[in-house]
Amino acid sequence: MMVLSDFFDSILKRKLRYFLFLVQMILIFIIIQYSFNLVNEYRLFNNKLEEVSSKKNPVYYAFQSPDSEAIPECSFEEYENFKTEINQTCGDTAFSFSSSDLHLKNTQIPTSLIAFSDHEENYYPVNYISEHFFDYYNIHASKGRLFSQAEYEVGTANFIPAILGSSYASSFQVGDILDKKYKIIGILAPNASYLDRQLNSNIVKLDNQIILPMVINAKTWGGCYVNQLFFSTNQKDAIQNIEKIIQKYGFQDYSIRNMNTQIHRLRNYFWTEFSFMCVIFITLFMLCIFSMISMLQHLIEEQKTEFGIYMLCGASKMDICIKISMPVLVILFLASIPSIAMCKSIYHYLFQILILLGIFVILTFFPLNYWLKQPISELKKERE
Amino acid sequence: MLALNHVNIKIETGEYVAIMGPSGAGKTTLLNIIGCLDNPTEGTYLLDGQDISHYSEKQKARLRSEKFGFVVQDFGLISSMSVYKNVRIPLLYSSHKPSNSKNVILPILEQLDISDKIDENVNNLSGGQRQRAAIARALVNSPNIILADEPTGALDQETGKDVMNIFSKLNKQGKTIILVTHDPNVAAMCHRTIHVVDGEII
Repeated sequence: MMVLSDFFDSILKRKLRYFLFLVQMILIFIIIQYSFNLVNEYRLFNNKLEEVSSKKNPVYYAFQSPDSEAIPECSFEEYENFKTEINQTCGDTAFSFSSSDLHLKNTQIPTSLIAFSDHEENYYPVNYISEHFFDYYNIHASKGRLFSQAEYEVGTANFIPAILGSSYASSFQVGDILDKKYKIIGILAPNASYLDRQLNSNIVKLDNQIILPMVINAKTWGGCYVNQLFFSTNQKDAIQNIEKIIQKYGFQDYSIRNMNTQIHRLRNYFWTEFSFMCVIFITLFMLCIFSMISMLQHLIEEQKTEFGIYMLCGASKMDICIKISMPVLVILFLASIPSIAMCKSIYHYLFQILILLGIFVILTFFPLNYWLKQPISELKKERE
Repeated sequence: MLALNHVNIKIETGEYVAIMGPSGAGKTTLLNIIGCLDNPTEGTYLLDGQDISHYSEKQKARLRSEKFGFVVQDFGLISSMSVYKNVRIPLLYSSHKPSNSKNVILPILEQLDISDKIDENVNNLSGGQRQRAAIARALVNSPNIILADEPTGALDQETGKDVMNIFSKLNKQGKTIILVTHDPNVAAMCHRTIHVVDGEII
């Protein structure tokens, strides 16, 4: 109790400084968390690119610009013909249309999964896909199954088959019916994703999405929407043919990209962005660390007299080291609570603990070393 | 540069000793070595018959906590703390921490006539009261040896005399008192005077 009361007295006496210390420490943890997310994002993106590029070579990706105002719409018959013509050119083409317009009014779904609300009605992100989509992106179901060929072509008589992203796994089971309409046939493995339409450094995660067969898109809306398609071919003629087919069906603002070239370009782009962010983070990190070390050094300098008195009264240098580093450790721990709370796995948690200890060592090494080199008699002179 | 050279002294338990000498003679260095605040570069220091010259920093800290009480010229009190919290400091590092520190501190403050100032900030005390608080802190762990560096240096004559009377009382209770002073009147109140000049005892 005595030691605790002495510890709190010491903190309260310098509360403003320790508060600044806490703020900087929080900033450091935000930087670390952000860097960690950035690295993770790069890893996922890179993995996805590798998965796609290694699957079929060369793979092409045609997509409508997200800025396009032309709606990629066609009738169901046109869609069927479009698909047949493209498949005649390239074989296993995949189509998809991403949207956020699935309205579920009678099903309790966690609010975190809502894409947007309009007039108190909730809409959920949905992806309409054709066969081969899962193949191209190496996506698997963790529970249940993926769509059958029949489900891709005509749907089912009673219920619409739906596959849910992994975030729905805690709320729904395979076999559940959503809104008396959609029957869950499978739940995707976590981190299932595909490349987004802009082909920048992002991937679109399917964890929060509901996946429906493309044919439902036609049945629901009376027509079809296609804003992405994937195909693999070794012939340059095939690409020109596909361009012609896209134009023939009136789809506008489409670009076709070779995935390998694109992957190379994207990697460079990502590395430039990543390096730039790293330089900013490292600079900010170093500034915070230097500022905190000098603040700690200053605190020691300021408390030298007090420490001298403590040593006259029986404290050893190690006791004073503990006295100096205890508030640092407590503040570090407080600052890291949000980061630790966000840990998703034991490895992530251990990593955070390691970071915490690493920062603690970096922060206290120089000030404590400086302190340990001070002769006790000098501290006494300081007072005199 | 040697602060002390060829120093050979023996102080018996219960002695009341003054160390005198001009400024820079090495009196404080001698007191620091006795109080385990400084290490002699050569020689032997026997405390209660044990050679402590090669004790570790931690062992010396324990000796400072258990065997010695320090009183210094400018009182050595932490100005932002109350009398109670200042006097409590040695108890924080004692191997026998009392369950209620007030029960230990209050009788000492009563003995020194400052028990009514227990919760007072030391900044609000007179010089004499501050030195009494410093003496209380030196006594709180019941050490056998009291080391005082110019204990009356910052006090007027009358208050200085009061402080010396306290030391005399403590000595009569069996405590060994070793004090550094410039003042011959203070030295005269002690049983023995050690003169240090240019780092040597004469």
